[in-house]
Parts: sequence; structure tokens; C-alpha cells
Amino acid sequence: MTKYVLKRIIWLIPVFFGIVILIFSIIYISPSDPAAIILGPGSSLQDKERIREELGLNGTYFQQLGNYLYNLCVHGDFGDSYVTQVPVISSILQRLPNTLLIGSISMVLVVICGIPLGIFAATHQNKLGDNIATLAALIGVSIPQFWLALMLVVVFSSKLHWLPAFGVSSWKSYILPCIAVSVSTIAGLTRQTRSSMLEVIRSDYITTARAKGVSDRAVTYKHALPNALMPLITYVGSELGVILGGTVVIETIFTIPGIGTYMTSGINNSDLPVVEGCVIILGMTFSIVMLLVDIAYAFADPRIREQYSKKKRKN
Amino acid sequence: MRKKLNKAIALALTAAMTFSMVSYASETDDMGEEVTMILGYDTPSLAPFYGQSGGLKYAFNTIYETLGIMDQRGEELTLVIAKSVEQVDDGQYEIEIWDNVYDTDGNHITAEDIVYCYETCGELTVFTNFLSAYDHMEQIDDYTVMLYMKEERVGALMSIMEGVPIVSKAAYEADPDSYIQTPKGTTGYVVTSFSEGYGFTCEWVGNWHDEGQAETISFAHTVKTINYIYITETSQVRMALENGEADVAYNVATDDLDYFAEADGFEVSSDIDNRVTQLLYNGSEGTPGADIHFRKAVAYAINREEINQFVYAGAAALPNAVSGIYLIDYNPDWDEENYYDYDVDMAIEELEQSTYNGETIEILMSNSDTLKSIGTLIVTYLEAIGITAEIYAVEDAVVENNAEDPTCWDLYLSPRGAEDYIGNMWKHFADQDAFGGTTQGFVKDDTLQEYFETMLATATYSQDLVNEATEYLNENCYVYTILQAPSYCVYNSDKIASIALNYKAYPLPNAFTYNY
Repeated sequence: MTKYVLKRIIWLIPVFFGIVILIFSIIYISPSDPAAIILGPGSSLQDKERIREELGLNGTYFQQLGNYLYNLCVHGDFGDSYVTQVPVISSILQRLPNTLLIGSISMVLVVICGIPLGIFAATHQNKLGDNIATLAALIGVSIPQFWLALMLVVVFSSKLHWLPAFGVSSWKSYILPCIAVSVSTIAGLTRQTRSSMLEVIRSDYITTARAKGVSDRAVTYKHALPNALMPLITYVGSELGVILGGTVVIETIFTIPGIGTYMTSGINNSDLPVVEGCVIILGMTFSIVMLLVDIAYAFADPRIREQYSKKKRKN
Repeated sequence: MRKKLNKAIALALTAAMTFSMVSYASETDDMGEEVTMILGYDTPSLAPFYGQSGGLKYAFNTIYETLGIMDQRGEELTLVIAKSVEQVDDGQYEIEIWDNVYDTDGNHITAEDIVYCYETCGELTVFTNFLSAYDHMEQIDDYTVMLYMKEERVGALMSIMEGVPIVSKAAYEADPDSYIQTPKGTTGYVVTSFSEGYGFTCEWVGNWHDEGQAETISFAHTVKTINYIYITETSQVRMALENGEADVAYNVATDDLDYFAEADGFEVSSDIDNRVTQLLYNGSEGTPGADIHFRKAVAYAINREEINQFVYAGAAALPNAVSGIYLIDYNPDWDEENYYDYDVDMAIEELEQSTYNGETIEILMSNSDTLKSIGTLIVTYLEAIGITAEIYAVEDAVVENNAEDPTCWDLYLSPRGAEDYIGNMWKHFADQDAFGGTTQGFVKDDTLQEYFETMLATATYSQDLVNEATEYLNENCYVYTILQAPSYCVYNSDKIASIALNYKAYPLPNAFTYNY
């Protein structure tokens, strides 16, 4: 098991370098010019050249990539923002908690709402409850996140004045953003859970359990759900990436000082260090989550645990 | 004896504190309590030497003072930290500062700090807009510095005096990172809270000004607490104003302005923005814009009045020159002259004399809704006279890159600004030394360059020269001014009686009149 985890951790290293090089290359070949952004329209060619020199943008691709990798790996330095000269890492560290908080709360909402709803739909297949849950899930999956966010603001903030419309002044500020982020994922997880459960419920061992007189509750939660978990774990893990990506829009709408808004302003300003830093952090966060998903597989599926166990059965 | 002395000291301290509290109280008696202003940009740093990026340009004068400033449009320099300025030679000025300047931490500002700030900013390209004529500065005594300029240029002294924020050298060098979120300026407003990505709060603690200083609007203090919050999403701007979470915003969506104009408790203030939307022609060889008849045909074909009505409901200004109407040397007589007034027949006549052969004209612009609206109308006008045109809208991040490529565009629609003199507005497109030997429109015109240089040089500058240069530029039509857009500010009229703007038309919450 330890070997399995270590192997997965080691795989993070090439993933890290892959992310860095890929994003650096994409931004390098993009036609935008940070010097023009910093100086504004109508600035002279000499001034732009000076800025490019100051920012180290006149080197070759490999020179710039090498410098960036060296500073990142040896000094942990993500560089300074081209526009504000503020160290990128300090801005990220200030903003990351807000993004992770929204992501974490949303994931908890997704799990505690999506799985029970999916189980309910599966155990009441073709009945009214199933139809309602399925319809609600379909609507949830179809609604665009940004539209839902704006509607939540209109209803709960503008009309009812129950919740704040923007900022992070109190715990109430997180309610609407988390709902906006999680609704579509809850709907997707509901559908996935229903589908997984229905597949498992038709298995022979479930029939056997029922024949042996096991209660419906025990059949559902003790026999069916553990076997239906594998695709759900995969779904939840991959959806975290969707949620982290979705925070870009949600943070902009709700004016939440997170990685999303930071990255958006970096993209608009061709601020390479900011974009690189944000993508690396988000990418590594997602990689770590997938690592945890892989570890969770081992706990959820005894076959995987057995495969990597030190003691192997001898034939 | 000792007890009596301690008692006396205690009494004196108490008296001093009471007096200062009373003074502070009486000074703040007629100040508003609190105001919240929305900034349309994130402001990750309030540090003085990183340029005025993001929303800092709107809060800059709340935090930092400068040696002098153009307090209102069209005015000459008003001295602030500087007490006097005396020219001793060409490009050489002796500047004396007040001897009682302190920052909000109580650090005394002397000539050494002034030199430090200027020498620091002078090496930074982000300050080029202000310090392009700056050479260096030397300390003469505790409160006197000598400014050396590279050249005497019109408006250069004003730019230099108002471009550099003044901070204490010792305090800044001791902890430069602290200035990112808790800067110490000399305005009397101190940043008491800063939340990255959300906003910051400035509170009045009293400043060093006494009766000797000139009263300025830019550095007024009519409110005790100013909250700046960043909201980029325009729907949220409206929500924040409606819910009372913000009191003033300059980035309200155009569609919401009518709502606020009629809503109770709100006022919409309108002014003319500094930036002028101009159409630059690509005059490189082989392009349609190289032909003066084509350029004039395009100018005559454009109905500026109609664009104004359609895009700005008639609220924009229509300068009859490559200039903003508030510039110091804008000649009001130009308003009576024909500036390629809309005339389809003249446009067709000019086009027939041109070498235009029916190719599609690319109109480059940044991807803003307003510019695209104007561009769409221009396309329609050009089609009416037989010119096929299409819009080439790109992101802000790449528009200047495209502008540098002569094969990329034929017309470039862009807002440009200057605050003082027409020559400084010409800098954005006409300085052939800055654009690699041609204008930004790839034109090599020695006469134009000569006009540009003589307009900027103080030795040769005159209003007659400006008139002559403007006439030359208009006749050759290298650039055509479309309009000068309005800027709007929505504010809570229950709290705010009237707003104040600086010379760039930015709202100054520290100078509003409050209903307290």
C-alpha cells in the first residue's frame, strides 16, 4: 500500500513539470505584449523595449523557460507580477484559502446532497420520487453556472436582502457562491449515483442478499453502495477540477478575492507570472486530489488493496 | 518636588492631548462620516513606486501627495508639497518644499526624501509618462532641491511635479513590502485595512497642512472614512448601489444609467472623459491610407453627430481637432470651423480622386462594446460611399501588437488622452522618433515632426504655432477625431450632495460634499 502511494506521489513530479512547461509555452507563443499593457496605448517603441528588457522578455524561449524553472524549483519563486511587482506567491497565498474554502464547501455539499438523492432515485426507480429527482438533476445539469449565480443574487440579495451579493465580509458571503458552484455537480452526481446503483442492484449477490432476508436498508447501504462507489469516487475527484475551474466565473460575479479573479486579471494583462502561478497551483491541487482519489480507491476496493499488499497469497 | 514635576508634566500632556483632540474634533466636525466607492479594477498593491496600476489610479491622491498637481482641468500647476518653484536655467528648477511635511506615521519629509522618490521613479519605465523629460535631482539643503530636465518641454514640469508620490525614504527602505498594503503617504488618510482582491479602507488622521498651503480639490478631506471596494461585474455594481453597500460608482453599465437617473436617492453625474476616440490612418506605402483623398473621403463620410446620438445619446463632445476640448491650448474658434463635417457628396468626390481600388478596409480596435458600436457605424458610413470595411476587434492585450504591424490594419480606432497640452496628445501617434522613424500610422512627414517638436519645446511654443500645427494635421488628415466620450458617476444623493472630479475626470470621494 505504501509502495502504491509513493509511486503515485512520484508521478506528481513529471505532472508538475508538464504543467509548467505547457503553460509557459502557450503564453510564450501568444501574441500579447505585457509591455504594451503596462504602458498603455500609444507608448513608444523604446519604452516598450525597456520594459521588455526589465522583465526579461527578450531572451530566447529556452533562456526564459530555464530562468523560470530555476527560480521556481530552487528558490520557490513564482516571480513578481509584471503589472504590480507584487510577488505572485504572496498574492496566491492570500487568495488561495478563499478558493479552497468555496471548493471544499461545495464538494461537501455535492457529496451530502448528490449521493443520497441518487440512492433515493435508484431505490424508487420509475416511481414519482425517481421522476422528480431525475428531472431536478436534468435541470441542474443544464443551468449555466453564471446564470444561476446571477439569479441567486437577484433573489436572495437584491429582492429579499437575506444574503450579501459580493465580497467575503462574513460566513454568509459564502452561501450563494457555494450553491452556485455546486448545483450542477450535485445534479451530475445524482445521475451518476442513480446509474451506478441501478447497475449494482441488479447483481446476483443483491438478489441473494434479499433472498436471505436482509433488510432493504442493509441491502442498499451495506451491499449495493460500497460496490457502486468506485465510479462515484472518480466522478467526485474529477468534478473538483470542474469546481476549481468554475470558481473563475463565480469569483468574478461575487467579487471574491480568490485564485479565479487573480488569474482572470493576469490573463487580461498578459501577466505571465500570475497566470503561470495560478495554473501551477490549481494544477497541483487537482493532481493531489486525484492522488487522494487513487488512495481512496484502495480503501474502497479490497481488490486494489490486495494487489499492492506486501503479503501476497502464494498459490 | 519630583511629585510636583510629574504632576505638571502629566497636566501638560493631558492639556496637549485634549487640545489636539478638540482641534481634531473641530476639524472633523464638518466632515462626512463614511463613503464607499466602487473601483472597477483589482488593486493588489498600493505601493508608491509600481505605477498607478489597477484601481490605485482612482485612490492615488487619497493616499499620496506630490510636489504639485493640475488640480482641475485646464489649470496651471498648483503647488502642494512644494512651496516654491524657480527656474534658474533652461531645464533647471530650484524647488523649495514646506518644512512641516509629515507622513501619516509622523516621519518628517525633507529634501532628501524628495530626491529619493524622484531618483527611484526616474529609473522605472512605468513612470515614463510623467518623467520622460526628467534627468535627475539634487539636494541643495534640508528643504530645497534642484531639478534637472533633459529638455524644456511644454507641460513637462507639471508632469514631473505631479507624477511622483512622496514618501519617507527611511520608512520606505526600512520596510518596503509594508507599503503594498499599508502605505504611509502625506495626505492625512491612512490605510487602516486592506483585503487583497476585495478592497481597502482609508481613514482621516489629520495632515500637516496649515494656513500656508493652497487649498486643492485633489487633496481635500471632506469625509473621515473612505472604503474602496473592487467590483468588476457591472450587474454587481448595480446591486451594490441599490443595496446601499456602495455609495458611488463610475463603472455603472450604460443600460443602468437611465434607471439610476430616475430612481429615488440616486443622482447621475456626467462629465466629459479625458480620452478622445480617434481614427488613425495607416499611411504606409501601398495602402489606401497613404492617399490623402482616401483619408479625406473617410473623414467626410463619417457622421460624428449621429455616432454621438446613437452611442452616447448626444452626451459626447465633438472636438474639431486632434485634441480634447479641455486641453489648455484647445482653441474654441476651432468649434466654428468645418472639421470634415458630414458630407456624403464630398466624400464620394474625394474617393473618386483616390487610388482606392475596392479592397476591404480593416478597422482595428480593442474588443470593447463601445468601440465596436462606433466601428459598426463607421463601416455603414463607408459602405454608403463605396468603401468596403470590416471590424477587426482584438483583446486589449494584443491590440497594440497588431497596431505595430502595417499589414494588419488600415484604420485604427482607439481612445487616447492627454491632460494638458495638445503637443502631449500628439506624442501618442506623431512622434516619429518614438515609433521607429515614422508616426504610429507609418507616415514619414518631416513637417509634421517639426511641428510636433516645436509645439513641445517651451522656447518655440505658442498658441499660434499650435493653431498652425493643428491646421496642418487637419489638412493632411493623418488622424481624425471622432468624439470625446462622456463619463458618468452614479452616487447616493441622500448621503452625497455633490461629487468632485480630478483633472482626469476620476471621482474624488475625499472632496465630495456630504449631506451631514
